[in-house]
Amino acid sequence: MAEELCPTCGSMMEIAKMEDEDILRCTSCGFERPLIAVEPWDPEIDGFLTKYSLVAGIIAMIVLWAIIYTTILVQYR
Amino acid sequence: MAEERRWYTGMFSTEDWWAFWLGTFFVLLGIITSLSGVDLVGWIIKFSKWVAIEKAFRASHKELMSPIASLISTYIILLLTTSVGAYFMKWDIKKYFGAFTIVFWLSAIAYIIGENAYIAATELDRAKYGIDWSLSLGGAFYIMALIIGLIIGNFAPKGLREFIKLGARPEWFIKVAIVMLGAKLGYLAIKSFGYAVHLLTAGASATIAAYLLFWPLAFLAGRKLFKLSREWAACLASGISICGVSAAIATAGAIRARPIVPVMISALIVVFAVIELIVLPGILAAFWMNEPIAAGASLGLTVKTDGADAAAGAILDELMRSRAELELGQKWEEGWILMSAVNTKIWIDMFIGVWAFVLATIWVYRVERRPGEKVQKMEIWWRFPKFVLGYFLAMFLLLLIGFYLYPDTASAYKALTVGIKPVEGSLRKLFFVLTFTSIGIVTDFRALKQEGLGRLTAAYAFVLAVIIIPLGWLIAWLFHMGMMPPTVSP
Repeated sequence: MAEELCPTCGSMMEIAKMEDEDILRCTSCGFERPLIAVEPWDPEIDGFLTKYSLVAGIIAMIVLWAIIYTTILVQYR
Repeated sequence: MAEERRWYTGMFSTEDWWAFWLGTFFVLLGIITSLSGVDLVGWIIKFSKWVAIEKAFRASHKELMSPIASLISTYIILLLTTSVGAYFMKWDIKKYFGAFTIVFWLSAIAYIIGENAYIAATELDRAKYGIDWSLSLGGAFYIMALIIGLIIGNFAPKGLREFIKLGARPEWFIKVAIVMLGAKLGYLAIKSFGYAVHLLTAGASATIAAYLLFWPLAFLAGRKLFKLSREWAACLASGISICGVSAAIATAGAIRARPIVPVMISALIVVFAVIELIVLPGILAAFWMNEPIAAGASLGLTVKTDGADAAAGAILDELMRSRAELELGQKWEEGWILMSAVNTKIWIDMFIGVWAFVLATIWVYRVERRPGEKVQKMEIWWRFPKFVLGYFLAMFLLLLIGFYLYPDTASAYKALTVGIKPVEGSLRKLFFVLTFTSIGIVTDFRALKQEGLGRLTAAYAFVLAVIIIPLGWLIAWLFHMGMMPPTVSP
């Protein structure tokens, strides 16, 4: 498993367990950071990414399916 | 100073390009044989079902050399040709020689054992082999190779395991095989052109719809249900929705995630792809016999490494054709179900670059708002899977030759069979078996026990089981409903 370099001293950090949380701990200076940071849902960013991709997916599926069904699949029914 | 990247960068130094070169080389040998009559492919080993061991393998053109000479020739030629690639990719050639040798011979043994008639023959075959019982396990040689590989990958001493891994290159071997599969598609399309075009078009459309739906749903589940941060959720969503390891790495690069993120997600992808490879073909063959092409396509949408997808497609192809012959009395042409699985997968592969570009643009201009920074459009080309060029090149070459150099399709098909069949059949299957052995060798289930993977494993398993597989099946069915493989002409 590849590790990450410590932002303060540049040594290798390793995954460790602290209470219920996995953290990255520097093997040299002891600097710690969360492996998976807590990052609240941001409607402007996360909502944007999810909403537009979902809408594009649904539209793409309907349009493409209609084209494929009427031009190709109908021949196999 | 970093080397400036140009459009041809990596042409002789990446696995992807070397899959293109090797696959195209073997396809050209087949084409030259067909056109000139000079036999450049008769040496290729052909494994068959057997009761007496001397019938287990022979040269593709048996008048050319003895079975043993063919086996040794195939070993030497594959060793030398892959070593050329290994040399240019700056691998340790001496170690590669040794490691590939082990992988090759393990694969050959697995192939021979798995083709034993008592294991592989169907009920209809038994009389032909003079036996009164058999397990009817079509494609058992693939499973045998996987089991042998898994035993080494999980139980061999660490030193030996790490050494053999130098010659176990599942993604490289399968990409070479996929280029040869392009030749098969072209060769079969000479007879069934319309059907091949339908399959390609339906697969491309299903892929676009699938990944546009997979990605936001996987991202949403990662963020909301499993409380993953944005960098983890985005890389996981790309890895599980688009094309596994490559997509996770491409996304991490595009959004500038920490290096540890794609590495941990890649470990999960590889292990889960092997679980899917073992589980899905059996389920699909048992419950979806009425939609074989949709079942194949669903594998391309749900199994997230090229190797495991093509491997699962090959097993499904064998299982479904055996059942169709036995239960429906229909002899389906070999390879169409496999091609359906590979078809959706290579379309997904092609979108990695596009998606990485889209995400990089969103991250630069919207998420992190990095002023003055621009995203290069060439990223799309750099991330394009180059072996796919070989797949389409092989297909178009065969079609052009078939349609323009011969008076009719029957004579074209017959003439091309001499040179192409050993490459798209025997050699491609051998590369598949090498892939199965290699997948087993590089898959270490202990990876799941490593620190820090708990929440990610749960997220990956949930998204795969609840979103990707059901939705993948639905989309595969919507876009391939009613399509059946052509049957073998009597």
